[in-house]
Amino acid sequence: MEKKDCKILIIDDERELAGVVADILKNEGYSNVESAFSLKEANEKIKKSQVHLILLDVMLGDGNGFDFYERLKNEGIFPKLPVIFLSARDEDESRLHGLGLGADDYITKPFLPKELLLRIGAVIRRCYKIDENISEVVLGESLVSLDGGTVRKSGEDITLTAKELTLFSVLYRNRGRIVTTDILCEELWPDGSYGLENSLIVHMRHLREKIEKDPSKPVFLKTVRGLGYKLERA
Amino acid sequence: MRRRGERRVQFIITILLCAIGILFIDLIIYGILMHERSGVYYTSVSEIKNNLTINNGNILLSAEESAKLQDNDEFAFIIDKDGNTVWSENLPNDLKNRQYTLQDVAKFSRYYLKDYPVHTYVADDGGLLIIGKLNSKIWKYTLEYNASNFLLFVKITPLVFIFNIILLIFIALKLYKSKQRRREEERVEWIAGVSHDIRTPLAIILGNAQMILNENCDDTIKNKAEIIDKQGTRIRSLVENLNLSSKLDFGTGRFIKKQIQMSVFIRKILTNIINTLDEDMESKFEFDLNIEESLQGKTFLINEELVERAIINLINNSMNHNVEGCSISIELYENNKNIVLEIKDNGQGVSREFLQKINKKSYAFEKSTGNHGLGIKIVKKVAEYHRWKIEFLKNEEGGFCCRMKWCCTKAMSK
Repeated sequence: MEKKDCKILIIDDERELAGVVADILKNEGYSNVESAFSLKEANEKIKKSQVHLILLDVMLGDGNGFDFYERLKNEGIFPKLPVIFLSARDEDESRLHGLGLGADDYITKPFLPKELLLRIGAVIRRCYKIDENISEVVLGESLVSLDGGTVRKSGEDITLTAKELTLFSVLYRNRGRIVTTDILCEELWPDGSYGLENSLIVHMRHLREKIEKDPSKPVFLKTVRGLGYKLERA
Repeated sequence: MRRRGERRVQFIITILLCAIGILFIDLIIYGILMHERSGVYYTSVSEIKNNLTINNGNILLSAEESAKLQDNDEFAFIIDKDGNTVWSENLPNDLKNRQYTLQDVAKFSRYYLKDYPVHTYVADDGGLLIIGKLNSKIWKYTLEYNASNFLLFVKITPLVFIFNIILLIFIALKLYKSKQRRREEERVEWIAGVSHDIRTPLAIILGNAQMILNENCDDTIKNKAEIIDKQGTRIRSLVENLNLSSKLDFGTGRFIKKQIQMSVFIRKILTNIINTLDEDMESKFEFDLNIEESLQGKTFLINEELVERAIINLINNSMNHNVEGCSISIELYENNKNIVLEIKDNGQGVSREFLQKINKKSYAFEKSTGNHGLGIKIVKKVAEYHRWKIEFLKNEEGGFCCRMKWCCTKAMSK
């Protein structure tokens, strides 16, 4: 599934807010965005056609977002439909309540558009297992193939190990942003072992040797001292 | 804190004075009432005696006094040594023509004479003058009391008195406290409500400003959008701080502490901050994180929301006061069995006066002033909440430094 196929429904009684969110999403390539200004309207839209993600306000004119979400889940029409709460209530309790109901994320207003997009992207990726459908990444003179798990550098094909490919995918998904060593370790060793940073460093060095032209002066795969790593935007 | 304490002392004194005053007034009222009401009026003996004349062995009362006795519903008579009635005035029928024995006298002098309350007086010639009331709505008894009991009563009364006052103060304080708490709760709710109402319009403003920034348009328009975006972000952090501040002040028990891996936690916060900076800011500021190896993965009992806010506030503070850019560093290390969390910059720093001011214990409760408003105060309150020691200082490079310390024994290693 591609971004443009992913149908997102924004449910918020503040028309202007729904409008801005829709614009932000459309700018980012999510072209199939719809808005509902009441729960009643939302109900009709959900039943009419398949929705892939819901952005749900908590306090609406004709009801409570939490209740709406529970009803939606209980009706069992789309049991796996991901929902992100978009609320002006920031109290820990309501955040925990929302997530406790099983929502995929809880974003408080006012949000940074960047943050909103990142979180939506993460939920879509997690729920629909897509990697933005990009199979090849150009990094200067190297070409990384995510499908094949190989790197083509100066005419030769180098194979990436499973761990290296995982690392690269995570960094690529967060391109331009720092990913902490903790998150990378978690991705590599999901059973939650700690103190594996030395192994991480080794994997990172190998990955760097494979994709960078001059591994001692990396252009793309940067180390951010004390924090983690970052794949620079091309 | 100090002001609150003062207010409480003042309140207790007021209550004390009120209690004493009330009891004093009570006593006066009681005294007056008893004095006014308790006495039963009997025509005085001397008055009767003076109006008695003895004429040829016959005793006569003046007509005037006789009328007065009748008006008062009283009667009077005199008995001689042998118990014979020698004179009477206004005597009821059932007492007429009676002779009184010693037993009779003993009885009515203490109690009643045929249900009539009477007063008995010694007459001049060894007889008795008796004055009685015709209506019997009078309670009469002989008072006899153990003197030592009375002394005990005198001794106990002040104690009871003091006990009463204490009880009164206690009740008043309880009432005051519960009222105060309710008012505080209401205030927290109110602030939460206001900040909630500000959030939605702010989200619309920020979203639109960002949209303009991403569009291809005139530079001047972009600059203006950037200003809107920056100021909107500023309001956003103000609203968050305001909400947190009121919760910290009044909403005790709203924050739950958990065992958190400090190293992971700090990395996450700093990374989030850097990741949301725009390119311009990212090029101006340099971030440095140093966590002592032995503290990697170690957990501490903290409230994530609060500590995150404190760290964000300190970093925002450094960035806001060094617009041209600077290097900001976070350090976590162990020193003399204390864990130290240091957040500092190499920027222009602040004046000594300001450092003195914010190092004062009461700073967190002072009025806000412009730029140095809520941010630092929240940092102080967060430190106080976790019982950390906190100090603000000028570091070696002249920049601003905040050092928070806590005892190592609170730590648990994972």
